[in-house]
Amino acid sequence: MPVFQKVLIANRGEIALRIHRSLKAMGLSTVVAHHAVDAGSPAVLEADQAVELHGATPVAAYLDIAQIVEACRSTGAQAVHPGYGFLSENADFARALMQAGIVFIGPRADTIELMGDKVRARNFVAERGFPVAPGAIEDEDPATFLERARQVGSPLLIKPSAGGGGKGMRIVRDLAQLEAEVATARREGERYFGDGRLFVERYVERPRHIEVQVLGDESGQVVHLWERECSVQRRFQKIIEETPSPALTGKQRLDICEAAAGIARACGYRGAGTVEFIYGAGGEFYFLEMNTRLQVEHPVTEMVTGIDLVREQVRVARGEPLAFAQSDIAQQGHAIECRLYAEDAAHDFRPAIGKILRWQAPAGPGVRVDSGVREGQAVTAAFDPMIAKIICHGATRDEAIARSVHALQDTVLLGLTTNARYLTRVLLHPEFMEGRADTGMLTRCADELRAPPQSEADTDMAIVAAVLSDRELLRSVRSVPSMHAAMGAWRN
Amino acid sequence: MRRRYLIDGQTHDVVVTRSIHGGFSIVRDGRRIDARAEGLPDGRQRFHIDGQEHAVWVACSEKSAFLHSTLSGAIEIETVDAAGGAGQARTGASDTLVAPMPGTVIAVQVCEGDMVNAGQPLMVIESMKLETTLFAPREARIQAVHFGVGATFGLKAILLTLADA
Repeated sequence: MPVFQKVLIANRGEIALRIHRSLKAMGLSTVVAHHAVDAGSPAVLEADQAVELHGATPVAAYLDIAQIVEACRSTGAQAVHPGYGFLSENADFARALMQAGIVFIGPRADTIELMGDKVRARNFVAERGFPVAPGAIEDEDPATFLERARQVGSPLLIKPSAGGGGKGMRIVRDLAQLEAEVATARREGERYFGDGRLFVERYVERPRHIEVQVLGDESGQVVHLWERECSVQRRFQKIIEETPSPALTGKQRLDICEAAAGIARACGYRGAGTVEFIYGAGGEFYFLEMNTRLQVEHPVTEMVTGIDLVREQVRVARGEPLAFAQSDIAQQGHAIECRLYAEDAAHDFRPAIGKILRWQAPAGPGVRVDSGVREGQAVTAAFDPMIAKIICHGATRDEAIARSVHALQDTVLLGLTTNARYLTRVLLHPEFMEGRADTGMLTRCADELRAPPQSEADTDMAIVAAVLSDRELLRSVRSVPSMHAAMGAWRN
Repeated sequence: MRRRYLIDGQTHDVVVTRSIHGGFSIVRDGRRIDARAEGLPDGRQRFHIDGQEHAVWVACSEKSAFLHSTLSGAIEIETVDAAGGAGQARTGASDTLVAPMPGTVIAVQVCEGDMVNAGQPLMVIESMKLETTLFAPREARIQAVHFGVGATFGLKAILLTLADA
């Protein structure tokens, strides 16, 4: 049974801080490995120990396997938590740690590899009788790929085999365009992933994204921690997630969660993972992919189950059996996560940069905020522009929505543009309120989600704020005796 | 004293004078506002505007003030030069390629001194996980490449400078 006392966190921002806090609550020591740009971040400041990583770019530093293994050696860390993104789904990293005698808090390297290859994962799942969308895989017989793709019928979706994050994906509605779209997708796959292999799948209209949290231990026990719905997406990235999903009936919920647990069981899954599905308007659902790591949106699951997923990841990595059976895991109430991004929703969600002048996280009953920033910190283009996650729990979905709206209104982040108000507009839009959002909602409802024109009262307040923060202006106005003031203004 | 502000894409000219109540009179777009403020113990400001009270957060940087109120959210107020624009008056637009959004340089297809034709790809940048290719707007000589592969840049950063061919 692997025993470890000190864990190195190979990540940054909110997730590094969140992992650190669970580790401390378990009595473990923490090391945060970081690039110099993050030296003043809360995770680095709170960690028991910090170690600097170097790289041509900040991202390159967080991806440098050799440096991280060396950082474990130099600090005496016996285990690594990879968080999400960066090296969390890198089988070579898991292997390098194993060879150095360091515990990787995550699944086995071969599981990461299996699920990292979209085509292998799809075949694995289909062969074991779980639902996958009708499709065609180029590798099975490249010569007949186009013909087999045509047989799947339109609309269809072309995906790179090595893909992820929506890159290189193309929807084809007119089969006459198939050949040209395949050529384009292949070029993109080669450019993004160094791999031009493709597959096609039937495109599900008005698709909803539903995923299931699973947890497995070394002995092969697997449970699910129910589903999350993440249909509210912009540029293929989730911005609002919730649990339970308002789309599912009780029977569908059991079916989809049991399918996910079955897939995890079939691959001998160890640790925390997420099985993603596409859910169609007719109630059909198909396996999409499995993420072999902690998800950004894991807190909603924690809010309704009361289970700390990082703690369970650590327990499993120590070789301990799961502390609960399936029947012990209930969903209590409803939880919603809103991702606060430094971005300008009015301009195609372009990232915003700047210095955080004022940061005041919301608080209150049922409100949890996971953030990794502090006042004075600069938000740059070097990383993903997510600043914080605002997670609200309520007894019902309506209460969770109301609390989320209130929490977003109470979120003070000054110095750069954020999507806080955009998120409240999405939460209050009838499609979301009625639980009808699908992955196309934000594009379809773009006009209705635009910010209303600013009121005169708000403009007054803004002008007052500008005037009262302008020291030079106040000094010169104060120096003019009030009875001459009006004249002075005219003279100007 | 005059100021020009840019708020939510709109320009506002204001004249500020001292008022007899210890506050300020602000004339904007032909209308007068009487305002004063006091600090609150939690770090907020309480604005008194025409007899109404608003508890708000205020912060400022070199060229902008920022305001947060619970009902209205965050508002940025940029102080602009009455003479020019919001600090974007750089060299002629056709002489520089300016970053349409913050990001990272993925590839640079030209070197300083190269002659390029209109429409020729110059640089590939990545932002929000999407790649964008920047093309030459006209026939020109590359005078300077300001960012190399892997470098990150901010919104409106000058990526390339062009000179006449």
